[in-house]
Amino acid sequence: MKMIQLAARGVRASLGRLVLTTIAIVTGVGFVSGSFILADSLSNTLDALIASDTDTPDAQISLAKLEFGHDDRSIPDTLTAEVEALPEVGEAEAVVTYERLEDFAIVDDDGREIKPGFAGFVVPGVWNGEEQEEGVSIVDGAPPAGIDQVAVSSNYAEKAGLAVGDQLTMNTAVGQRRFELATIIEVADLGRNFYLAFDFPAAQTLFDKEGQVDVIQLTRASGVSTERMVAAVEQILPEQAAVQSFDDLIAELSAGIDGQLTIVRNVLLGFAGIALFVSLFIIYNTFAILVTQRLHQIGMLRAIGATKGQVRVGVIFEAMLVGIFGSLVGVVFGYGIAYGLQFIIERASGFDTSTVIQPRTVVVALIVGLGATTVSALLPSLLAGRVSPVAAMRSEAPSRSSARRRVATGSAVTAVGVVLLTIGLFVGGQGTSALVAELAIGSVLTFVGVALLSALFAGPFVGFVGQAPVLGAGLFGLGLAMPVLMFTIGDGTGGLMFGPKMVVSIVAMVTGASTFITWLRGGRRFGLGGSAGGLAGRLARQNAARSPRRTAATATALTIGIAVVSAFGVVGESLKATQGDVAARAIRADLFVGSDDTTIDGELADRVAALDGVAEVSRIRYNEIRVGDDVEEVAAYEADTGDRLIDFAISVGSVDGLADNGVLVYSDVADDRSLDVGDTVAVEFVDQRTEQLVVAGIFDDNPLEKGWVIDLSVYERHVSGTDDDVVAVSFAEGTDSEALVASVEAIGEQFASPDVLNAAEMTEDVENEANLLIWIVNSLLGLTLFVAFIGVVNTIVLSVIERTREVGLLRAVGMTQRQVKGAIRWESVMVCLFGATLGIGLGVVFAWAAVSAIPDGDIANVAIPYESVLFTVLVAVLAGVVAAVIPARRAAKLDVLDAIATTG
Amino acid sequence: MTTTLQTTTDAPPPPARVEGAAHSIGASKVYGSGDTEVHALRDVSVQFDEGRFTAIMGPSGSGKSTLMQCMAGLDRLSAGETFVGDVALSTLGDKALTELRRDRIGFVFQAFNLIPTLNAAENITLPLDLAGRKPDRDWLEQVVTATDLGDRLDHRPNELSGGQQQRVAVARAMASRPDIVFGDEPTGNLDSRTSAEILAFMRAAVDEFGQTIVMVTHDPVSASYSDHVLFLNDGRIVDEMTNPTADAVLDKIKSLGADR
Ligand SMILES: Nc1ncnc2c1ncn2[C@@H]1O[C@H](COP(=O)(O)OP(=O)(O)O)[C@@H](O)[C@H]1O
Ligand SMILES: [Mg+2]
Repeated sequence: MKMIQLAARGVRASLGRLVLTTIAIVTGVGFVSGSFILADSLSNTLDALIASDTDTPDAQISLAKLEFGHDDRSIPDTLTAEVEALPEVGEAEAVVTYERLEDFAIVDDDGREIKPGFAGFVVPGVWNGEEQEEGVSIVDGAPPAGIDQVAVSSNYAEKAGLAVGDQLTMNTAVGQRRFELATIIEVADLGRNFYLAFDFPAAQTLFDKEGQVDVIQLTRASGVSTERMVAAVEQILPEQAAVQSFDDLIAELSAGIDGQLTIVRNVLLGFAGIALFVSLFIIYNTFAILVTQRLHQIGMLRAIGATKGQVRVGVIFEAMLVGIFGSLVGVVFGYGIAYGLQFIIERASGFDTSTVIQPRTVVVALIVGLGATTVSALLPSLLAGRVSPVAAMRSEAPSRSSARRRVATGSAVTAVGVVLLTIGLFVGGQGTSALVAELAIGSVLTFVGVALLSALFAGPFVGFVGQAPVLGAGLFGLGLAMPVLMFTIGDGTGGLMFGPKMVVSIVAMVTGASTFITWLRGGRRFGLGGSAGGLAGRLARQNAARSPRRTAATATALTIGIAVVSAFGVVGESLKATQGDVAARAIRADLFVGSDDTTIDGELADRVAALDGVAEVSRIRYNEIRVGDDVEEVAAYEADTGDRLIDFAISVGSVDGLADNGVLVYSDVADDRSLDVGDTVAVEFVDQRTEQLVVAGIFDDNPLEKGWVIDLSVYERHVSGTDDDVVAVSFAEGTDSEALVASVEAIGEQFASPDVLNAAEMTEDVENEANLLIWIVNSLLGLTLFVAFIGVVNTIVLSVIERTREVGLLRAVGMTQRQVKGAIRWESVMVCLFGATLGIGLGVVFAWAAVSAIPDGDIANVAIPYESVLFTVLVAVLAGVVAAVIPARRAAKLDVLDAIATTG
Repeated sequence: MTTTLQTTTDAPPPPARVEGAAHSIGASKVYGSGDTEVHALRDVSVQFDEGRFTAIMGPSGSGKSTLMQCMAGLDRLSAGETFVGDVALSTLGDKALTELRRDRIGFVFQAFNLIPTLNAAENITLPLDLAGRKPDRDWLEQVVTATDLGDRLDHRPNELSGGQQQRVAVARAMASRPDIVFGDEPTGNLDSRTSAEILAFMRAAVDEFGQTIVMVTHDPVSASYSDHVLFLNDGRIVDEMTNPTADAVLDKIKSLGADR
């Protein structure tokens, strides 16, 4: 009991010293609880949205789900009348929808979209009549009728200055058309989106769904149960359609949403976990420092009879108080984050959302926050327990574990971590949760082990790099290397970071040069502005050596964040390099026409083939097949042209046998299944029929295909529809390719405007995707880096407090305020540089391991993004300077006499 | 007469010529205000001549440390002025004052004189390093030899005895050949044998190198090493003694105590 009171007093006495630690906890816990709150709230919002629709049907007919793959089947609109004729069915309503919203746009005479104000999406729909549709009312005009009439929501009409009777040009799924604005309608809950409506037959045409419906909604006849109606409808349904009661449908929908939200939540929690893990090191540091600062007090307590256990418990209690407080504030912070994100989502989507805090969230937050502080205060509490009663008289740190023991523990922990990581990466056939656990625990152990070991070389590192000439010349060199890299290896844009990269480069060059020159002159300016006889470096080195664990723990916080950032950077760069390599080698076609989110009408290929100057065209279609128990990707080519457009890189056999019920197999797949040229494989298609195909060839890495390749004729036997996924085009010799590209694009505009890309642009596409992923990961890691940064500030602040007397003495014997600031800045930069160097090293190793684990078809060899790595190092230096601002100012402003008079 | 002293409350006569390494005119220092007001120094005018070893004595709380700190540019007066050479300290900003301490003044505190992370040699050259100045090798060697630290130079403070630590501090104070060295009870924490060593060294520094030293002490034996003793009481200089012996100082303290 007494120890609790003492702990509470301890917290109160050290409030200032715990502020930054609390911020670290709050940030980590905030991210954790924010992830929960956001997921819960979105799930709640979507559930409410589904449930709020009161005018719901009893059942719904839609396309039957396939076991795998996809098919071009559709529901004929004639089915509507057939089911309506059933006595069990009261009413059947056909629905067509269109999902690629960007295909619809009202354009001006030059084909540019007219998007007044802060416009959202254009949502195309079907005119269902005002009395049927809730929340829709006519403002002006009569309902649209016929293929050339459209209703437009009033929010758009007002902003664009449209009136009933105006003529509009509009992009549709079937190309550009002219319309008459027949109706202006008021639609509720649109947000910033605009609504367009056509009559039903017109919608079918304009959505490219002639004669089809997407869904038929059913209301049961009076006195008939939903079950009976569903059973009756099932009797007459064509093979490709299925009927489902609306309750089942909603349950399925909710489960799907919850499943996806859970994935999103878990990804966010993963990043929150990294941030929390980083804060462990900060909490550890704080309590370790607090213990050393209170040696006298602890020694006194021991002298007057406190047991080791009581002293330890005291430290733990103190940590727990901080943990509870930090966690509660963290939940509030998390609520804030979630609320902010929701606000953005609400603005973007137009949905009403509400923020939900479940008791579970608070409990988890408390457990996580409390757990983190308790665990990290464990070591410091053991240290406190080792303080001897005579410490009250002397000012001597308790003996820490020996370097040899640290090496032993560090190596052992690292080894176990590496083994786990290796198992996770290279041993196949494991469940996802086992894999995640192996990778997570493996990296945690690796980081802890490296942190233990890094304490050994923190001193030497700082000692070497901390010398004025080394740091000065080094900084200048690194700064100079940035523009050199950007304009030689890089494309000179800095990957959209031109400004920031140039700024850090210039700052580094100027600081480095001034450090070096002042050193040459034996100048008296200090710190990063030059070192007096290397004194700043010496002080920094010796401070680092005095508490290598603290330096290492502080640096490790940074190391973790930077390691993950660099690992993703390296993997991304390797991916880009591999793809670029293969594409440059193997693409023979001049153009690829395709779209990420839709197929292309088969007519496009015919029209392109008919263009003057086009030598060859190949349709490519993708689907899934089942081989044995596994569902695999399959690509269908026109056998006679396919390999002239792409080099399949066939190593054994040839494409020749493809047309003759043949199949090409990727070498990795062939190895796994022990397939050789001439072997027969049973392949099941989406239509559930199985066919025996003969292996005609085995291929290696190529830019497009990784699995199975078959001939289009085989494909068409099993999959209905004439849409293509990609159309590859090659030009005849000596044609004006620019004009041809324009012609192809013009044709494309009449078919949902697919992308028209050449080989270089294809590679760029892959690169952009990789860049986007890296950008997202880096943003999510921003929090971790922020926590690590707080950790650096925290350590520097605390060590300035700890060294108050020293600072006082230095000032007394003639250290100027500027020199004090310089020395502290110097130390901070050293810590950051150490952390960054270690982090980049680990990141490259992690990435190397990951790249080795990824099949060569995706990423073959490691490529290092030198520009980004350099940027990271320079930003770390800058962060060090910034982290030192507050502590340096505090130290410089210390009153000399007070500082010297400080005890302990 | 090497030290003038002014105990009058009259306005002090302006000194005809600046003499001595440091002097003060009408130095007053008040801590706190209102009820808690403490007059640590009351109108003290004093001069420390070059090449002299001066001791400042007085009961605890008499203002010895305050006087020394204000003379040394570590603290500022409430009224009056202190000079090092002919530089008036109140005219200096923090930077100039710091550089003056670094270049022209040496310090020895009672305790915590050394930076724990620097070894003895680095501690000794600290003010020079801070100034970015090359040490005068011969001079350093003399100082190191005189303080008998030759074999301890690469030791950290926690590897040195209390006496050795104070010797390093004294060597540090002298390393930059300052105009004046101030010591606030530099031997206060040491046993008598060790403190005798230090005091003998300080005496030698004055005799052989012409160093000016001002030392606060309340030990009559320590004071006997000096050329001149000033007695402080309640913020005023109340007496002085030239060529003191331990017994004479003790008698003086007793008589001053009886006066009160
Ligand atoms: N920082 C301070 N704040 C308030 N009073 C102080 C301070 N420093 C010294 N004093 C007071 O000024 C007087 C002189 O102190 P000091 O010069 O330290 O005496 P000495 O060194 O002779 O023992 C004492 O009464 C002391 O309490
Ligand atoms: Mg004193």
